[in-house]
Amino acid sequence: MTNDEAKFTLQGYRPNGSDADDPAIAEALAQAERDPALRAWFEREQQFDTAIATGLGNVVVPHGLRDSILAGKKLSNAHRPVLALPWWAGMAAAVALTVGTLAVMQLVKAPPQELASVNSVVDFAWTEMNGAHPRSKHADEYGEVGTWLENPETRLRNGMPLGLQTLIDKGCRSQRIAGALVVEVCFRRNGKIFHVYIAPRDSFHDRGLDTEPTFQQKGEFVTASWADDRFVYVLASKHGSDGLRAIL
Amino acid sequence: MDRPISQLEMPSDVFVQLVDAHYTALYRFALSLARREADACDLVQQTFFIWAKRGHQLREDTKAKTWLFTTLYREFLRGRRRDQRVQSIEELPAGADDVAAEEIDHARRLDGSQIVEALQQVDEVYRAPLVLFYLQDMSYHEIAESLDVPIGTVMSRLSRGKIQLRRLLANKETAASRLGTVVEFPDLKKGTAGK
Repeated sequence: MTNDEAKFTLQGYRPNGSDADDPAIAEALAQAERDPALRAWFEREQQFDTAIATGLGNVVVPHGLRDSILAGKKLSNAHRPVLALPWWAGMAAAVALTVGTLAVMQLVKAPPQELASVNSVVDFAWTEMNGAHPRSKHADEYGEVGTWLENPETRLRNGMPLGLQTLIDKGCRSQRIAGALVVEVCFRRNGKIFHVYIAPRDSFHDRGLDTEPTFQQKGEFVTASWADDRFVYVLASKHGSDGLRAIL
Repeated sequence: MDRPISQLEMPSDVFVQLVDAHYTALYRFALSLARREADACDLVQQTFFIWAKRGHQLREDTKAKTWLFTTLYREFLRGRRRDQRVQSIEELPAGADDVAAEEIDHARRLDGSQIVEALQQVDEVYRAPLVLFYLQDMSYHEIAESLDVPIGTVMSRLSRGKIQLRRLLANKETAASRLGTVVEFPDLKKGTAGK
């Protein structure tokens, strides 16, 4: 093994020493022991790699991510059995899903021009509640998302256990509001209809964002808006603020 | 030790153990790829969501780690912007620069967010193996398997990725030192100001 070959191999030697028993690396390490110049090179590489690995190991994971993952797994266990469909229906569904996914990816990837405000989503919700709401699917057609939303025990302020892309993939309606991608899910709770609008928090101005819900009323409709580490939420219905509080 | 997960029917404790063992490293990998915290969280959640639905079909739980990183990387590639620049290996400089002592000192002074920021600027083709290497959870064999590339390609990308990372850090250090440079005020007694 030449020194160049040894250097090439030692690039893959993790600074925590886990690869010492790997035959190729062991041979390169032995070469470094014999050659002072190669040893000096390797020591500097290891010092640099250790510094980078240590820094990367200090990156803090967002609070709540673990709980969200575990909550998401519970939902996936509750998925509906797949219906038997003829082959052409499966093909048609695949084509529709591909087209839909491509369209959604365009929506997701288009960067917002400027940061949105929560009130722009609230205004949008009110406009929809006053007759502009198109006919769309309800949560009971979204499988596990619907099961979660329509479970009487679910409290929305515990956080959304799925990502926006997952919701969109399941057929939830999405649109851009003031540059922010907003996903809407309509669902029933105890026979009453609610609409929740969910958007990435980092698309919004920090001002006006609070973990405590803010209630606003216009006519017969009431909205509650709040934010957590990941998302901004606007919940809307015509069942009063008490109706909203019951599921927050 | 290598229990088939399919026999366990994914009980909650197995899933929790899997999450606890890997979600931190997966998040750091995702953050280096996706650059935004919200996107990284989405990627990690999506990965475990897919696992919960399909991952238990794996015969050996020792393969779970590789499967999770592979799935996260594929999800990232599936969703990334089409117009993102991906530089080919041939365009990058060959050869291994030696690490200078000041580069080591500089790297030691950086905190986690600065290191992630630098890794995020490494070209994508080198970034994934480089971050997996620095997470130290995978051998170069496992990185090759996760990214579905030959071992020699992993080594080559590690070598070139490290060079690029060092150059990025050196450029940042230079830029930072320029910002902190004290410019001498002109000596008006000797100078020609006003003439």
